Amino acid sequence: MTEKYMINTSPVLTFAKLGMNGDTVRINTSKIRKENVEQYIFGNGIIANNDYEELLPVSASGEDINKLLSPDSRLMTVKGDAEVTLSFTGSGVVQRVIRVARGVEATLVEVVRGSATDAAINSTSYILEENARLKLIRIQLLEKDTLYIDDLRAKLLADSYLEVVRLDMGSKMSYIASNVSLDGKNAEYLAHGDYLLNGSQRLDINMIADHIAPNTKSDMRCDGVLLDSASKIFRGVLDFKSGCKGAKGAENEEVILLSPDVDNQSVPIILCGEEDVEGNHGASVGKISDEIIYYLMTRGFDEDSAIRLIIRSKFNTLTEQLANKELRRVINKLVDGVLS
Amino acid sequence: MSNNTILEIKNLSTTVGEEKTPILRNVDLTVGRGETHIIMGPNGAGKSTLGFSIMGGPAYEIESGSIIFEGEDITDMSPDKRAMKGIYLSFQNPIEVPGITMRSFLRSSLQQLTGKKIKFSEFNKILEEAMEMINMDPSYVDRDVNVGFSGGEKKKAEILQLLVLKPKLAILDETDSGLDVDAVRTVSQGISAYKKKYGGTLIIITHNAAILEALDVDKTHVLVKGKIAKSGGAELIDEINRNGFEKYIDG
Repeated sequence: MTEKYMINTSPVLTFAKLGMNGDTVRINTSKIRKENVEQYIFGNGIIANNDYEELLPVSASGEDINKLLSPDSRLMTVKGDAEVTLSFTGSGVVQRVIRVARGVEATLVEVVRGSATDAAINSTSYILEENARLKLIRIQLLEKDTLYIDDLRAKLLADSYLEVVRLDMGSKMSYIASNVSLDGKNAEYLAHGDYLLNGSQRLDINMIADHIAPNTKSDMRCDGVLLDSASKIFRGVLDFKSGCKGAKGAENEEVILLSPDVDNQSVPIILCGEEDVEGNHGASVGKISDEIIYYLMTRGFDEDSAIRLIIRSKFNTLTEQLANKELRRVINKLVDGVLS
Repeated sequence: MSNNTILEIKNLSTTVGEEKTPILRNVDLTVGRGETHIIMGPNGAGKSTLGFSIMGGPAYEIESGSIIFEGEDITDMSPDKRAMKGIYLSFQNPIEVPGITMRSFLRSSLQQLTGKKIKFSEFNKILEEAMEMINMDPSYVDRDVNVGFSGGEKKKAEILQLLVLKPKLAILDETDSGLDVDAVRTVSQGISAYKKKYGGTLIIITHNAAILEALDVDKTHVLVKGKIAKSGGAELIDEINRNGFEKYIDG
């Protein structure tokens, strides 16, 4: 049965007519099955275990997401570096809780691929215990007929560190929600999202850094390239709750527009419930600077090749972080395909 | 145009911006193959504009005149085509390109310019040879293009590109500014090697005579208010170093 769900609702509303407060999505829930998602784990760094329970952090996707999730989660513990592939063989939902135990330091690469015309829903909560350090690299390469809902939640305990590097290239419509709750003092969160959208692809982002404990730090960056008639909305929220003294947060965006038909919206929000905090926002939206194109042209690249080289090099900084050479090759090929 | 002429600028006038502010005014300049020409002049005289105009800089509008390179009119040619013809511009403020190493960038550039695929082993040999000429630390070429380089390192990297790409004509726009004494000497060695080893032609825009020590200067031009106020030989450099530009400005 097809029903309407509110998704990526902004925590603070603006004029409704701007259409920036959130989105409504129609999903036929009867077609969404848990069995349509396979999880492949590579390496010994992550193990499935069902002996860990933790209250889930709140979703940045909004209340309605809970109606779409299955009650049982896959519970896992990170022991060291690992790579996980989530493969959608049809419309499906996966709900996971991933724990990084006290003092553990690891890099987790997650690749989301496959096809799901009704919806591919990935809801994953990360619990970082004291002094845990996790670098999460999430690569979304779903087929371009897919509606993707990505609900990332994280709870950071004292002195923990979470770095999220992500690349969104696939799917027709993507809703990316992430709510990172900085619960423990000195917890630190760094996010760098990259996207490359062409055709009529749309990306809807709702990122929240929830500063609860003192001296917490967050830095969210979202950079991307829009081609053809692609569109994107970025909502970035730095929420300084009462008591988070000494907290610092920043959110930045760099958007390259390569067609007059693209649509780009940005909603940076800084909420201050505490006086002793520092919140920064910056954005750069536009074409690639003439100066840099000219420099490359003087070195023999024609204008199109120069633009391709600049964009390709932006994604290189991300792919160079991947140890998996095959994955690197796949992404480079996809980037080249979009830019050709 | 004699057979020995590589570049001929005739009656060139350029403007900048929507208000069409005049920069160069009726500039004539003829450069012979293998020669070294020095362009000097006070700040704001149009020296960099001259370099950019030869290299097809999009910020400048050519109002009249022409630029002939090896007998071909390149006035309306795009910068990449000019580079393919063999012209190189060393930037006063080289641009940073994050995400691509200098090694990979230079190999791509050389492939674009020559239209040939160059094997890694073959390219690395060319690169090593060029790095040796200017005592460049090999680690620089595995860093992203100009990213995090000091001002001096960026200038050195421009000379490295010159030695790898081996153009027929190189325009060096204040390559010596911001360099310490040792770096000026190193860069000067590189320029000299380009000229002696590859028979290169040079147009050097500079304020500093030190960079010219290792070079035989053929001609010096004093550019004032967009015009060539005086042309002469190497002796003109000493004269300007002693007396400044005042008499040309007043004149």
